[in-house]
Amino acid sequence: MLTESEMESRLHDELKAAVAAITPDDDFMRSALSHRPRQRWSRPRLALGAIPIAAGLALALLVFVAPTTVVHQVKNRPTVLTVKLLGHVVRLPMGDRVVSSSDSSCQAWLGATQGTILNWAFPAAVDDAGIPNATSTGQSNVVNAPDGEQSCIQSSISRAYSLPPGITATSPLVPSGTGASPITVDGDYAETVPTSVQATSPDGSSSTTQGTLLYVRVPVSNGQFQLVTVVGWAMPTSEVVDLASSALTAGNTGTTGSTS
Amino acid sequence: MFKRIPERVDDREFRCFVLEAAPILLRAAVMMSRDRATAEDLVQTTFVRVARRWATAHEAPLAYSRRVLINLARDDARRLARRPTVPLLEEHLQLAASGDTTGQVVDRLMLLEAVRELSEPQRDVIVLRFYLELSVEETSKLLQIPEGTIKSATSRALAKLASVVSPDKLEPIQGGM
Repeated sequence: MLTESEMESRLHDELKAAVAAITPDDDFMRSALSHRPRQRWSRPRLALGAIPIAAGLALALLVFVAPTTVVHQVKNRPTVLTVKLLGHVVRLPMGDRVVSSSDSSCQAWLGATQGTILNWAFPAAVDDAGIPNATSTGQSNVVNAPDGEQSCIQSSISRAYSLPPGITATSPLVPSGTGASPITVDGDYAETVPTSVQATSPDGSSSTTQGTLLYVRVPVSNGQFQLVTVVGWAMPTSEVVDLASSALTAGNTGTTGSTS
Repeated sequence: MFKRIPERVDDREFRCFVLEAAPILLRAAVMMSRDRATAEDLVQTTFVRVARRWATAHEAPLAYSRRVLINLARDDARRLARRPTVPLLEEHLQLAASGDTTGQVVDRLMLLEAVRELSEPQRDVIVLRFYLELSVEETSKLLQIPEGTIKSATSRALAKLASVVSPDKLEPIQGGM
């Protein structure tokens, strides 16, 4: 009788011997050798042709983005681009730029000196009493924004006012026939209107581009409202709305003043 | 802008591995599967998978392929559990090449059949430990079974195989393989 250890040793030998005669035939080996190992892939390498492209992009960023945005570098956090809107710093959506390209509408004001004036058709506005007025026009000294920021979006918020008789929280803000589209911004009644924006430099030269006006009727205390006005250009209407929404979410009550 | 560039893979390295591993894997597969055709399919599938993952496998291809083969064999055994095992035919052992006597061949066929008739865990343990020469620890890791279970499965399998491994049943080994 074999011990377990002896059995193990013998089984090992016998198994080896038993299967020794089992050999792969030629067809099997041909098939086995026909397999090809999959290529290993290197780490991504910068292609030579990409160098000029990268350099061009870097130059474009320096020329067109850097002067027009505020870059907030938070330690150990990624850099974020922001604009100041309604007195609040609003983070730009990832991938969006304030100035989109070398021929963007913002370029007209790049390097503009202090005193450059923006004008846009104002299909509705508020007068000193806070009453919407269809005959006003808007005006802003866009290049004098705080911190040297110069972006393709400007904003203002009116004093608090009471709605005149016959006007409700959801009454139209803009006269019909101006292309206004009613929407809501954070639940508040709003309208977007296509408009043109004209920049006039102190030397008299001017440039005009298309933009979007956004009005939001924001309820405040005592049944009063404030009218938020945002004008944006070189960006889609949806982005103007998103940025305004972010600014309003950050808090807009009690702010009074002219275009920032 | 950024490119991923394929590195040159030396096919010779893979081919050398196939030449070395094919008989080892095929013999193990024969013991773990229903018939030789199934065993060959399992090994070919193993090579396909190893080739596909050569970037990972090339550092220890035999160990990698052993693991793949075991998994394939176990999946296959479960899938086809109800099908009867096809007895190994003597020609599969290529008698003419072995030079063994008829008695030895018959006894060794009986041993292989006995191994194949073990329960799946016992059979896998026997093949891994006594053919592929893995330690208890290595077998435990490969089969993901506790070492104690490996030892008890070994004991039970040896008890079942005792009748075909006993000295009076088999001729003494002369010259091994």
